Amino acid sequence: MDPTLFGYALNVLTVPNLAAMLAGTTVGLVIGAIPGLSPPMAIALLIPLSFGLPPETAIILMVSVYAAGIYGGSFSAILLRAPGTSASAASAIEGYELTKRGKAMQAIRISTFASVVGGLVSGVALLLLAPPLARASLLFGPAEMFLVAILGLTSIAAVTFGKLFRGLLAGLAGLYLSTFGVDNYSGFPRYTFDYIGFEGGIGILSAIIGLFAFAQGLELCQAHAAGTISGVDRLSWNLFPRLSEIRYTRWALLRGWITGLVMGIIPAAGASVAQWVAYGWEIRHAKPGDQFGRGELKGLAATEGSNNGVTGTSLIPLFILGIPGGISAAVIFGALMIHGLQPGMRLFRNNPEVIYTIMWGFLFANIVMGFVAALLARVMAYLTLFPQGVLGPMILVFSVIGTYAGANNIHAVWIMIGFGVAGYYGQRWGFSPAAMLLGLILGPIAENGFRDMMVVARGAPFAYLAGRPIALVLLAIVVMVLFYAVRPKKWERLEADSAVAAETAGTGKT
Amino acid sequence: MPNTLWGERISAVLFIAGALYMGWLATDFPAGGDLFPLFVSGLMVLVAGIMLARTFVAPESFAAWRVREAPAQLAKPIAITAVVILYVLAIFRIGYYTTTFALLVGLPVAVGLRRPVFILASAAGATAFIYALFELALGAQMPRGLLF
Repeated sequence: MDPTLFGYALNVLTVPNLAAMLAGTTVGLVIGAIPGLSPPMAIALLIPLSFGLPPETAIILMVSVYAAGIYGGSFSAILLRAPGTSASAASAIEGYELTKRGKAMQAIRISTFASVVGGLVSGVALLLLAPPLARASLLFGPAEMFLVAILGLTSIAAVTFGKLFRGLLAGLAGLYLSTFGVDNYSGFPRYTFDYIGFEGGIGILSAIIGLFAFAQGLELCQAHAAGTISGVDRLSWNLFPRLSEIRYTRWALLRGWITGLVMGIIPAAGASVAQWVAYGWEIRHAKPGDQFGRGELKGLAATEGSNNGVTGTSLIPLFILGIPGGISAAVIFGALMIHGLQPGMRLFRNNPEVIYTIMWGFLFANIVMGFVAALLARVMAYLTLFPQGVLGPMILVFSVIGTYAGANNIHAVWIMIGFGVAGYYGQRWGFSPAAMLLGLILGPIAENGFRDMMVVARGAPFAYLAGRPIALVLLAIVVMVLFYAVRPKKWERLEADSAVAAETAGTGKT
Repeated sequence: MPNTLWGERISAVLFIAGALYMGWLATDFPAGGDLFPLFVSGLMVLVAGIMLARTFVAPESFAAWRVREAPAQLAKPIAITAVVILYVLAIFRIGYYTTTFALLVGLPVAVGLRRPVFILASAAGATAFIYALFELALGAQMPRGLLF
């Protein structure tokens, strides 16, 4: 560790750097909150504006957008069930249920706390543990990637909420949809049905906007037009979490942050996968009285902690090895190069003042984000007081423009509408849209990992797996998770027994 | 399919048929491109098969699922989706902002809201927000069409 590491913290406290953080977090929060507009898009748009800035200020601007963009997606997920980014889809489940119960501000408070502290923890890991974590990320080969995807898929069982088989079928349908389009390995088109819109595959953007936002627009158009989502007509001004709320969610927060930190260093996994793993983990820890699927604060704390817990550690492979682990990291990679900074260990040797200032900037940006987010969320929460008859059509319009702006072609809009109808009826009939999205996100990671593993293992995957300790650990976790997923907990068995006993007593049977 | 015993059976059969069809299509994919889709097909047939078998082995467990859904209630989202499809098609003929404003005024009225001033104000506000964000801030050019 560089002995002058802490000295670089002061470099951040200049007017241009603080202004970059404030601008970056505000832009990130707004862009992230609008379905279809993603953090990578916002970062890319800011690159030309950053030409005149010193390199460290320019990159602080980018990493601020990145950190805030992930959290901004949660605003619309929690308040409207229309996630702004794929990283906040899981938050839509518990977050929106809390909003429906009139607890929108409570949900916002805990999600802000989980995100800010998650970002800070991740930033500290970036600052202090970057070199060893970068080496650990190199240990993730095709077999490990395949097993990480399988671990993520085990979360499908968690998001089915009593309709296990229907949820599993929705998840498998998602896996199918992930194979649509030109095969990366052979260049052969798969399942295109002669429709040009399927040639490039089915974008996550169309799926997420359709399954959640568009379906929600339809749902609100069906509801009582003059009523509001939560039925309340006032919002609380308590912007910061209460000690009781933090205490209630403390273990969920911790599990979320740990999941985010670990998932961040795995290339291509990122926040989209981390949130589902954290959510699945949380549901498996459910206790009597927990209300998962009906607005459970612990579920929201875990998903929000995990998706921002990813942000710092996902920059580690980029900064240390020069390998971008995701789309946002790839755009930041481009920005570094444009500003004459070559990512990798040379950056630490040649420009330590720049890279450590950026890292400190990332940390401070998370604190700035907390304050900006609290105020912005309060403003956005007014949307929940709008009549549903106005809010529904608005969400439909933003779904169309968001998809069109994000994908830049009309076919993505048609596919989004198809997902919207599927999402609406799927939600109604128990074919979990979340499970379908999970299949779609994890399908390519699982398939590519599996095919690469078969090539590397030369047709002997089991012998290959036996020689890879991380893969064996992951395999053991998958087996353990599946075992606990099918085995009811002791309290669940007791509840079932008491229900049967009550029924028997009620009917007079012995 | 709806949450009924027969809904469960029809869903299972449809998923089995779909999985077999997709699996059959996958047999044409070269260079290992068929492996994953065939694996998913197999899993889908298995899960849907178990789901179907459960409806015969334990039909009583589906009794609580009987939920009446009025046909009009099920058809309304389809009608709204058709309106949105017409809206998307009209964007390129008439212009983005005119069609968006028309939809944001017309659809709330169609779904039963009777607050004209609020509807007009919110439609104007949303259209202005889209213009400011996409055209002014992001530099995107929305389709103009005949009007605006």
